[in-house]
Amino acid sequence: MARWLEMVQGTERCLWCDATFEGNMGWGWVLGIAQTTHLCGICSGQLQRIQELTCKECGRPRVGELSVEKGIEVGKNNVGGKKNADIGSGSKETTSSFPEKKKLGVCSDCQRWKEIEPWNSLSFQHRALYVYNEFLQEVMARLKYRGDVQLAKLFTDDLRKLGRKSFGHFDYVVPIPLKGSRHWERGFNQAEALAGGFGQVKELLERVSMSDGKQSKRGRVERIESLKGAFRVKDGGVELKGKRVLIVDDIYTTGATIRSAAAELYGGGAAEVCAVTVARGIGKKAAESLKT
Amino acid sequence: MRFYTLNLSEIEYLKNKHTHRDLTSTNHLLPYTTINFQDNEVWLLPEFPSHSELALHPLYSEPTIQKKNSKTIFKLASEGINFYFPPPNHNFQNNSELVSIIKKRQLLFDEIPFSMEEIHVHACHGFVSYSPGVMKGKEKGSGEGGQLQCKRCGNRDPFLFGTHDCYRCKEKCTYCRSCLMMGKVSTCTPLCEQRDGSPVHEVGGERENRPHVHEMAWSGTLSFFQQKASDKLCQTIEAFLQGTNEKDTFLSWAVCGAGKTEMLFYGIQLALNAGLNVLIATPRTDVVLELEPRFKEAFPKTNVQALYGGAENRFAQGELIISTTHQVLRFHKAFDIVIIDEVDAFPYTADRKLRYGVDKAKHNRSLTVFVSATPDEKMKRAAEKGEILSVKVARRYHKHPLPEPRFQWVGQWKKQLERKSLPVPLRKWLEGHLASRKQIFLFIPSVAIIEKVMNALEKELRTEIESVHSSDPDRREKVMQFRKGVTRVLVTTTILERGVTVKDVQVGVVGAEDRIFTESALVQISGRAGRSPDCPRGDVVFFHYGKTEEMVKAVRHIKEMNKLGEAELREERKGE
Ligand SMILES: [Zn+2]
Ligand SMILES: [Zn+2]
Ligand SMILES: [Zn+2]
Ligand SMILES: [Zn+2]
Repeated sequence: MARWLEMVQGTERCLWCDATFEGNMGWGWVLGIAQTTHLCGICSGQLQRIQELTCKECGRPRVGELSVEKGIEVGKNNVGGKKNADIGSGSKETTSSFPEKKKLGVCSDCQRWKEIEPWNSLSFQHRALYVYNEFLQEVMARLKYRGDVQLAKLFTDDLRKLGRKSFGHFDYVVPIPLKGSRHWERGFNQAEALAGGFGQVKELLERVSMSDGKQSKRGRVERIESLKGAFRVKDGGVELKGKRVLIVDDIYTTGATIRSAAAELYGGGAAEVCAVTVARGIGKKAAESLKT
Repeated sequence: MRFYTLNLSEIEYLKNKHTHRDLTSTNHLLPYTTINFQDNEVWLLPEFPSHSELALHPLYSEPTIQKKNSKTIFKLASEGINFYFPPPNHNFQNNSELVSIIKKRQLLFDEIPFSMEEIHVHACHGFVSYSPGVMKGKEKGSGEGGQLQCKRCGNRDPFLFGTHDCYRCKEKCTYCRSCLMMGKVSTCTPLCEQRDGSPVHEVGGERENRPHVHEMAWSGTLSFFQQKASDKLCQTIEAFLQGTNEKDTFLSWAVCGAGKTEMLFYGIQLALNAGLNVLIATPRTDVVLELEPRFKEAFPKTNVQALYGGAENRFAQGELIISTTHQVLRFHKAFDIVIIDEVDAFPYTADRKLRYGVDKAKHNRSLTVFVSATPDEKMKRAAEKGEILSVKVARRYHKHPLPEPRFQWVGQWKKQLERKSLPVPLRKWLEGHLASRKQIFLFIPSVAIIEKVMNALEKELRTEIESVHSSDPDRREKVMQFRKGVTRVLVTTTILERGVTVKDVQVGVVGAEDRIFTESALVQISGRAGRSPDCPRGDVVFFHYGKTEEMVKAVRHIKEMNKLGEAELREERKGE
């Protein structure tokens, strides 16, 4: 059956489990109102959209009061009915100031960053779509390690919206690059695929060196050390001076990788650098508490 | 990845030019010989990734090559270009491990645990050849822009292909999502296989001259019915060996519980001793795991290899291979006899994939044996018309008839479940059997309602209840607990319709009207009951909200088999 016909009739196939499901788009799709869903109800129900934050810089989610994709509001601290205020919902601002400077605090991790050059004088903000839970780990593994790049479609639109909502306008969108041999091994760069929803993608960065050893095995301090100078602004690229740049990556864990890339972009003259990712790691303890 | 193409004169030019310099380091990317190189053929010179040392190989700085455009193997094949592969060079010190891994197989560069360079050197010396992993279909009427097909798994479903900017070939690359879990096949991926034209092995010969290395340790006796099927299979294999078999497909249509595995023993032994390569293919890992110990025990001197996802050595070579669908997809022209166990009644796509894989895994001349309790209409008709060879085993080895299912209307059972209660007839049926210490298999149409069913059952019954579904990580453990009798009621989706045998179990199907319960699924489900000779009877009930055609057909199927079985029994008695 032709795909458009499938869509009008409301039958879709889940990009994750391949089950057929009833999409509820009807003709809205033709008119460009409805958005395509790529996941069936069961699968999308397993994603946990980040609704509330506890840190305005790294976008750390409020754990324990997370709601799932369906948007069931479980937060108890929504004084005055300001739902999802921290995500800047409803803000149409596209000025250079961040639309969401609310009363959010800064977490201890970010406090520590502020003690290190160059973060004592530069700003950095990050937002993620979902909590990096077990289901999302599986999705990301199939995308990255099995190379099912098609799965990036699940996130590209929402990443663009998240970037726009949280940070307004930006001049360039920069995916975190891979090292040459790794890039060949995979055949693609997941960050590049995830940035597919943005129009202004520029591969401004390249990897300089990656010290040996698996990144995940090292502690926070060593990781930060090893990432110093991991990226370089490509020669002969575009003018960065005064520009607002958005970094796109797949997963945010300690933020070291993304901050290292951001520092490089600031070094190249960028006025403001922010980042969006699909998945936000929340640490083992928090993940455990989520399970129960 | 991409390849440069070289014609015969270009190869000769490059070889002459570089010979006097450094033969080993320069020429090792070109074929060792160009014997039989045809005018319409080209040699494939891989473009090595820029981070690899070989990217700086002197060959690549040659003007001949610099002038050329490299292309993906998909593009080249789509343009109708033929590739040259030299015959094996027996003076070449090959890597025996690499040669053994590739033997009879079709693998990705990424799957072979050796460098791209080493693999290519083996292509230069006639041990490996390349073919495109994804191709445009050549089916009639498909025209120029034919449908894409994955050459490893046969997938043609456009939804199961993805496209992205590929770093390996630097263009838009389309990959197969259907067999992705076995490594990615895309338009720029070559499949590496043993070079075609390796000596054809001689099979057959006079019966008495054959070695008798494959001893059989099985000492059981075949029932009258099993013997009949076994003899017919042996005759067919013998005819195959003599080259006199009329058909190359054999169907063994045996009811659930007929003892089909034992019926295969003599035929397999005959084939093995004649030097044939035998494959037993089945869609499910469970079945592979169940068959492996039985065949290992029956053939103690034979190299029996079980291949499934997670098996220790997936590239092992063996004389008798028992494999899941996915592992079959890695074979290429490897088997003379393929036995397909329970091919029907699976999701259509899984079935199609297995058949595609089997076709690829067979030698040009081969014999295919289907073993099934519920062959599909097409196969049944072919058997009736004599288009394929077949044998029917209508009676279980314990000689008792199959339990015939009953229908029980239960109204809007789904609504009742919402209220956490069971339809009365279902509850009474369960209570009755539980009271007489019977165990119960309760089949349900989908995973989605497991929780509701469990809630209702736990509220209304005081006994050990458990549920399983196909992606349940504790599946094996739960089935074990049921076998041990700890669990009294096992709620399951159709995953358990085959294979699992539990003594004296009663069978209920809740929502038998659901689309998922086809005739063959229902026949298989009913076949769970009365398996043991000690308890040959069993109660099978289809609880439904509206009788379906499939339900009726299933009961008719079972009744017909029982009638046929009666006739066979009379025949046996006459023989005594
Ligand atoms: Zn799904
Ligand atoms: Zn923070
Ligand atoms: Zn495939
Ligand atoms: Zn490619």
